[in-house]
Amino acid sequence: MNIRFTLNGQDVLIDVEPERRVLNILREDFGYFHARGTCYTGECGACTIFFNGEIAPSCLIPAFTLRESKVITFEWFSETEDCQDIIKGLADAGYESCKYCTPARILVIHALLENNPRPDEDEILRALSGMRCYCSDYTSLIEGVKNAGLIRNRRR
Amino acid sequence: MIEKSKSPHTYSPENLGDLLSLYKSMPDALVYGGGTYILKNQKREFLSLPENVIYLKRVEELNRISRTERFLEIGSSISINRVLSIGKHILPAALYNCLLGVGTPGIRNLATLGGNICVRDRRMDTFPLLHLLDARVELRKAGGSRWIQINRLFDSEGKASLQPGEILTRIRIPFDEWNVQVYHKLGSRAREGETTLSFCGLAKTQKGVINDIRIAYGCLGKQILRNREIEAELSGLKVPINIKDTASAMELLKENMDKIGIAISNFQKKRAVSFLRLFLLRLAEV
Repeated sequence: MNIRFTLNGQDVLIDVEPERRVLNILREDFGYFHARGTCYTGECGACTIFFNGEIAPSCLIPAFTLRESKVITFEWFSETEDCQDIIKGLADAGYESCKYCTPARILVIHALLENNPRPDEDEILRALSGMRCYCSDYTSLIEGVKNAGLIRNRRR
Repeated sequence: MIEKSKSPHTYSPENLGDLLSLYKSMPDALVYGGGTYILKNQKREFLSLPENVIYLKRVEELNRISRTERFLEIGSSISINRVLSIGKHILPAALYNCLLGVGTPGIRNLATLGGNICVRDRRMDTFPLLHLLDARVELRKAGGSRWIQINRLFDSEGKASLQPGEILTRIRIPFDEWNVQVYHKLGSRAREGETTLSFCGLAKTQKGVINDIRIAYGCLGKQILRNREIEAELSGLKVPINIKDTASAMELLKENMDKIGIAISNFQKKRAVSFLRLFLLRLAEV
């Protein structure tokens, strides 16, 4: 099945089986390895991408739904100033990044800050509730998200 | 070596007319909205899908939200997060809390309200609450449409009343003045079974008297538990409800859970009674 969609700002045309997961397409066909597959049920959040402007677990997106959609992966997002704000905010709070989940967490934090530039603790925890990696302490993570919001607000 | 099965034929109609005629011609096709429930238990790279799949997201008519003074109307293909974005001041408070408990934030961007209602092998989070809220659903097929109460969507054994080629298109939620609204959920999407339970309680009180009260339990497989006997016993009582009436309602619930044909674990029974007690206590705060 030929599918045309926008991947990281570029129009692409691929020939894939419609029942294939987007997670696998990104990793195997395009070499975008920051989206990671673990649970394949959408629960762990490690495969999060932006799908039509919203965060979504790429393991739960079949290829046939990609047609004319817009997909953004961490690889593209990591080049933006928004991403650097989040990385700085987290680092300032002493958050120790985990190679496994941090890319997805950063996308989730970006989605949160876009809708709510000054989230409170509950809102941060609720937004991050879709991430099931227990690598970090939540105190520094919450502090880091708040820092990132402040840094971003100052820059904009 | 596991062989990959044949790829499905997928269709993405862009309007309701095309969707209905397509579904009429292949009533056995899988109607695919967000797909989060369909894919939940699949672990392989290639998803197992039936021969024909009709994708709903592009059907413009299923992606509309409208509001009047009396009700809110939501297209069945609207994502849970988009329903939440209507806002907590417009959505009934219990529904807002209920939707926040559906999956994870990422899953809520994919999962649809129609899908949450329509899953055939279990009643999902929103179903008991929408039932209490007197929600109605529009079912359409080529050449006809009908509105039914949401509780008539499935019979007492959990069998769907959808006819071949019929599809759920809109959900209509009436605005009503429920001054106490409670929704609690135990367990998560990942752990379904004997340790999950949801509780929905709605009440209208006026001058310290309960005018109307509704209570339902969900996450119990294909059925929901609503006991009108308890509701009738509680209606007309003064708030705060005295200890004797509270104990009587809890006793009645225990008896009914033993009588009905739904498999409920002891854990669920205990929590069901606790939720009822908390709800009745909450009435005193109004």
